[in-house]
Amino acid sequence: MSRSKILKSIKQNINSRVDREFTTYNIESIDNLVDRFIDSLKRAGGEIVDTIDGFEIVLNAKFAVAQNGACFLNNEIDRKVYSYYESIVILLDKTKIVATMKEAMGLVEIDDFAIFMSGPSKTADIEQSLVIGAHGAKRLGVKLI
Amino acid sequence: MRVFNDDKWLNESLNFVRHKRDLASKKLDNWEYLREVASNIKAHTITHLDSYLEEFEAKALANGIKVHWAVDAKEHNKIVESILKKHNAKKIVKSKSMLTEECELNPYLENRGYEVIDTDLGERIVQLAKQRPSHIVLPAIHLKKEQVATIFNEQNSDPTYLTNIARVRLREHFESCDAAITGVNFAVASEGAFVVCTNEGNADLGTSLANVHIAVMGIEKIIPNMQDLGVFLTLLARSATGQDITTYSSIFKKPSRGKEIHLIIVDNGRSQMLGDEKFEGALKCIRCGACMNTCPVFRRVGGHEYNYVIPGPIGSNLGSSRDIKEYGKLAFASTLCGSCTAVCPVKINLHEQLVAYRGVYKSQVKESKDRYYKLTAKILTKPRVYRSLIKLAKYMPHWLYRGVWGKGRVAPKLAKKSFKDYYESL
Repeated sequence: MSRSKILKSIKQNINSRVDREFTTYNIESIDNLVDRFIDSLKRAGGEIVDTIDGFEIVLNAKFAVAQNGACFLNNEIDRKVYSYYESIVILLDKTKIVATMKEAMGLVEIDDFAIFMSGPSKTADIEQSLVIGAHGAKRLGVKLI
Repeated sequence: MRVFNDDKWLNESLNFVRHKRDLASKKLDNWEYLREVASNIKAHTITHLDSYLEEFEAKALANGIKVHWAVDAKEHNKIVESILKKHNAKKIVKSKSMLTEECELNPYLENRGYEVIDTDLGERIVQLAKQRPSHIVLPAIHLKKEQVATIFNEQNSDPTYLTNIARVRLREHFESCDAAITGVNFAVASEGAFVVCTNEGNADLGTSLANVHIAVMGIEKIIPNMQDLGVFLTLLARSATGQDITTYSSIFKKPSRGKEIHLIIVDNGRSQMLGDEKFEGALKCIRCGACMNTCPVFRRVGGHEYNYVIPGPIGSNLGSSRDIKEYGKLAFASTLCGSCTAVCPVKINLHEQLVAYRGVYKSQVKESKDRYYKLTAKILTKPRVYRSLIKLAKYMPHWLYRGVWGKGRVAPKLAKKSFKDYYESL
């Protein structure tokens, strides 16, 4: 059986086992979480909006990450909502912005599927020119509440 | 025919990506410390792969993911085919996976009548051009927009226009697909979940529309827990493209109701790399491509000049470990400047491995070139002989280049004066 063959080969070949040296780590301390989130979101091609009008679909973020502009979403039954539509607006509670992925990982809860989404879909596969709107959303707004 | 000077733009675009990586890393207070953490997590994980794989499998099975194991590429392809057969799937949308390139899955399936659509824009371009990716993150970086327009049968070569053309055409394939194949960036042992990162959203679109999702991973993709995932998601996109994080970082834990997720765990020679401390570090690789973007050799010749499926410094090492006779020569295609090692987010000692593989190659492979090396050594150790031969070099007829070395190359123009003569005339 391939499973036991592979595991056997791993066990046989491993020579010395390396211990973990780091049980925790810190990345960056961020003073103004909201400002940094907005800055990161814009870098990722997203926008802050006042109204959800004009967007095809509205999603609710559990929390977001200031350091990279990503919103954490995990409550949709149909997973195609994240990539099928041309425009998405995400509702985000301002008080639910954390500094880095370290804090984020403490909040992650996954029932069956979850996603960190940062800005609209994009590609730079043709001559390194950034194009917004590859396969997923061409427009991604975040409404802070 | 290749004229190296014409490839300035490739050098420049890769250097641009490298520069973006530098800016992104400097924005963080302690990037170097994070690399240290990531390196240790990976070194620990690859030397405990057996227990982490078992933990991952147990959790994934409990989550309802169907787990398969493949010893080699052949078994991997067979498993994929058997899943497709079971679901009577004919049309497959695929997002990026270097493992499927390594296993040559596309030709395997196409020869058996399946329609395989690569959906990452860069991969779609090279698929239509009947080429292979020249870079693991930027598959079509060797092509100019005019060439892409020709490949798409379009007159307009504006990247936005072409990207939208691809979006519209590929959307039809997404809507009518039977199965979706993705790679895996990270498999989290503590959760039995796996993570797929894309910027385009193609993995999400394919897997949400198809009834069956086949994810394929090498055994080294395992990481212990979610905190570790935080470290790697912080490093991956910054190292790869200079973004803070990929647009979509999707965590698959359970299949949607009525759908199936199959995960294939592939060895294909990886477990054989364990145990040799000089070389096993290559298994820490997270496939960000930073070593390629910074490599002075890669930046000038491009990925197609490497005969292993993964190009650049990491590919030269992985290829050498796979088959020293076939790929060991790649270890010599390096200036050993160490820039790859300096940018690697998991601190693989890439250039030191290249040196070590040169030794392995020389001890295991006899080359016809060896006698030229001996002749060269004789000349170089006798300054007078060397100088008189150099003076003769300018009379060397160009047809001499057309031998083995000159294939696919243009003869350089030799200076009229040797450097020594020039220097003395100053």
